[in-house]
Amino acid sequence: MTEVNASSIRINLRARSVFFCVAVGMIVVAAICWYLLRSTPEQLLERGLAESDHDPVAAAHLFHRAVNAAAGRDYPDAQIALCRLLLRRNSRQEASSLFTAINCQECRTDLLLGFGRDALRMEQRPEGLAALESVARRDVRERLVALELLMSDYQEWGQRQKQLQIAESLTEMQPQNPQRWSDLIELLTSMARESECVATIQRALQQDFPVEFLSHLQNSLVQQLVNQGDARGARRELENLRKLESDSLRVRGSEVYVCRLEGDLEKSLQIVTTIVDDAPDLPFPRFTRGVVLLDLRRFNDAKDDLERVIAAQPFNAPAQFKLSEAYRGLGKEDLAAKHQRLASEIAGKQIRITSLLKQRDEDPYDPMIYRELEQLHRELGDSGAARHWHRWGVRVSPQNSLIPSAQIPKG
Amino acid sequence: MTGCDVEKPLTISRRPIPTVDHALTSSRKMEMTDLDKSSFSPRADDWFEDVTVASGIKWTYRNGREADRFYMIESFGGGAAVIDFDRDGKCDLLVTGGGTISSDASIAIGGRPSVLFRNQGGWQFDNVTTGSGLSSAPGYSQGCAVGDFDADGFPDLFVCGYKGSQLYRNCGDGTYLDIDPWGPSLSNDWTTAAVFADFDHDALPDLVIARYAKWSPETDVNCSKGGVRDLCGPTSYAGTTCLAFRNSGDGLFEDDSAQAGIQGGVHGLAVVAADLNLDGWVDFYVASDVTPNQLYLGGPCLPLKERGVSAGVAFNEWGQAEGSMGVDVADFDGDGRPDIWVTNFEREDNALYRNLGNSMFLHATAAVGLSGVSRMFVGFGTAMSDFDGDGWPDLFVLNGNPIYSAAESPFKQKPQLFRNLGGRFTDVSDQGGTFFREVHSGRGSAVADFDDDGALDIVAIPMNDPVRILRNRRSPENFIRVQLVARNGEPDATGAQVSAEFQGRTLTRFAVRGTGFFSQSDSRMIFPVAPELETAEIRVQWPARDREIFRGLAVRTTHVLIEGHGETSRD
Repeated sequence: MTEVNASSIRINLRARSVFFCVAVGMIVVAAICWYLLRSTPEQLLERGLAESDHDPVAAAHLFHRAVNAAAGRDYPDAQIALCRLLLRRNSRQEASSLFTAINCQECRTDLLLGFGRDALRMEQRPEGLAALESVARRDVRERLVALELLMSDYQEWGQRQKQLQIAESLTEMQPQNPQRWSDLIELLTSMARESECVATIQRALQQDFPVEFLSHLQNSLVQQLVNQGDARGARRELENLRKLESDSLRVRGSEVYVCRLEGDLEKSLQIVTTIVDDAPDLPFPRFTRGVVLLDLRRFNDAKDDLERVIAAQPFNAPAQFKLSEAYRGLGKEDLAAKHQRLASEIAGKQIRITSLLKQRDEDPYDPMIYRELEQLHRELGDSGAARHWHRWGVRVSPQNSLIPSAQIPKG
Repeated sequence: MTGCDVEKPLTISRRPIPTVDHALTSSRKMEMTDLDKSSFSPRADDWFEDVTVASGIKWTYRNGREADRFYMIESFGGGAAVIDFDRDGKCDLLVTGGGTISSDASIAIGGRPSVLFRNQGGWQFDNVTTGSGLSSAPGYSQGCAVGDFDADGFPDLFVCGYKGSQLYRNCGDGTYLDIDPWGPSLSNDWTTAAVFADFDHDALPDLVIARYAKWSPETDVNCSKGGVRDLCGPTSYAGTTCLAFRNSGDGLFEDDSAQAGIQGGVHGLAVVAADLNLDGWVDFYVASDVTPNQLYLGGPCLPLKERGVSAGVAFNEWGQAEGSMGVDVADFDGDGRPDIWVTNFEREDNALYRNLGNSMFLHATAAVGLSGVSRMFVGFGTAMSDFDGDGWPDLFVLNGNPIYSAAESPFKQKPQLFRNLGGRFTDVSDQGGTFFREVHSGRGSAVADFDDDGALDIVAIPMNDPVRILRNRRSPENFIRVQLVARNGEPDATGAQVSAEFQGRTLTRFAVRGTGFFSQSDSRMIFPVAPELETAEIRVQWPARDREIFRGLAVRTTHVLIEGHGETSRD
């Protein structure tokens, strides 16, 4: 029995050793297989992106895994994807604080652009602008979309200085697109940057555009030169405009002011009278004729025209002022004083509006600005504009929490 | 009496009447010898010739820009006073000096003295500042004014500036004595321009002073555009009031601004005295930077009545206040009424206000062919004077931008010259001369007939560049020049109207003070006379007093017309 027992013990020991070796081998093989077949952070990100539309929770899990999988290094692509997902789930605060940790410069362009677009749509403006500006600095196909989104946003928020930079970039990128030039010229005009505007129009005229657009540009050029007081230049360009559209209404309208600049008041009067005859109910030609009649010291005729303008546009400050001049010329001091006072009141409000819009350019989140703009427009009889600014006041009010609190990362 | 007795209290007696009734000086033909040596080569049809080098006038107004502090006081430059300080009949010249600004932490603003040039004739000027009493600088100087405040017959001086307002009494011996007749309140203030005129009708010249803002280095605002630091615009500082100081006759000036009805809210850069509504009383017009210009109408008693808005001289043609700088007054359209000319900032038309009578004016810039011509310029010094001897007042504008870099138009700009073609103007800048074909940091300017040839010359005070003297080459064939001396009112007869016949027209000139920018021009009046005439007739309407006719006045001569010495007229 002793030999049998010893033999059986040896057999058991051998079996155990074999089993142990097999087990270890299997573990090693499994580990090798796991190592060889595991998901990379990139794969996790892609899976997360694929899931994000129909299963945001799973997508978030995958983005987190991707970030964790990149152990020891940042993974901004997964972070920005997660940020976007958080925004979509309305976790603004969380998204905002996560965004501050992201180096935008390292992010994939399509992910950054997507985040930027969503952030603007979700009123998470500072983060959206930072993302889009980062894309706009890249020499990539998506730059155009980013610039367009930025342009649209700055226009909406009245930030003209920034809008101008974007408009210049877009025009440089797409010189063959008339809309780009049109936007840039309109912007320069509204900012009273006359010299730049003239130079821009002249560059636009060098492009191969349809004749209708060239005609539009040519007319803008005449108006700018009139504003600059360049009578000779304005006359030259007016004659070029005439070649394009003969004696159209706008050719005649521009010529009235060119003639006035040239000091030819009789001709100016003659032309503006043809316009008034063609469009007797339009206030602007009648106003222009009133101005020229005042130049000619035909006070009574000027008064008649200007009174009709005021009847149609009681808040037209220049018309009120010109009417006061006509009354002054007629020796009617009381009426002159009355219309002067009205002109000053209206002009004062308009100056305040201009000042507020400039303030808005610097701090568009101040609700007081919108409240005052609403009030001023209401006082000037412009209920449409008053409603517009009322909506803005609501939009930026503290209750809506649109005032940015996040620190915007650089890059 | 000559010399200032500093111990003796000042008492003012009536001004001594000059002994020379006619022919104070005879006209002189200019010697060209020295000028021919100069390097510039004017065109044959140039109106003006730059004679600076040959004249001996060598001076530069400095604003302290090099300190890079961009202080508001740096914006406006300096001025010139045409003053016959020694009463030799020739126009001498005083130019203010400006100042220095320290670039270190101490923030010290220092003054540079004004400089006085004596006209020796023949386009030779000597710097006589040393020993004149003007060689010390109390403060950072800007504009200046001339008036005989002590009625001793010798023209006194007032220099404006930052902590530099100073009254200088002409001692009659070629020296000036600085006096302080108002105490420290004004001495510590910032004044820009001033004019001597009698607003309280006591026959003594009072002093009306323009101020720009309550500024000090401590209240300085940092302005920049596109990240580039530059000078601030007017809206960075609240406007202030002008000041009206009454000459008490005992050497003191008392602040009478409240009684005079002076109102606030201006950035005052020029103040002109003239009878603008022809009612016999001296009025004041204040050019203000971006706030409405003011018109103070005088009457038999104070206060003056501010009527800028209702008179139509406060705004541009669309009812907006402009950045107004220089001013002149003349009858540009030959209707016998004084019209007002104002230079303005870029993107604005310079304003010509046509006098309609009854204290009413109409913005007439477009009507006279001047719409647009100044929109790419910033106008400072100016003159509405007859430069070509045809009897119609022409226009000179000295341009330059106060903003060093961040503006639509450049810092240095070309001056402009417009010829009056009978109530309408045409640009003749290209025929102005070499000076008009160059760019300048134009600020103050004055006009005077320095060589007594009957044509008004120009002195221009660019900022940080040398003073320039321009000889008018279009002297009239025949002319007469007059200087007024009132006996029953303020001696300089500010507010008087003087008229003469020429080519079937009545030419009217006005006794105006404070025209141009920061400057005082030649107070003598020149009338062209038909070439065949040996004598001429001048009519003077003394302020609120008689009208007199002076007959048989020899041509090409300066006549001192003394009130009461003419033939009283009831026309």
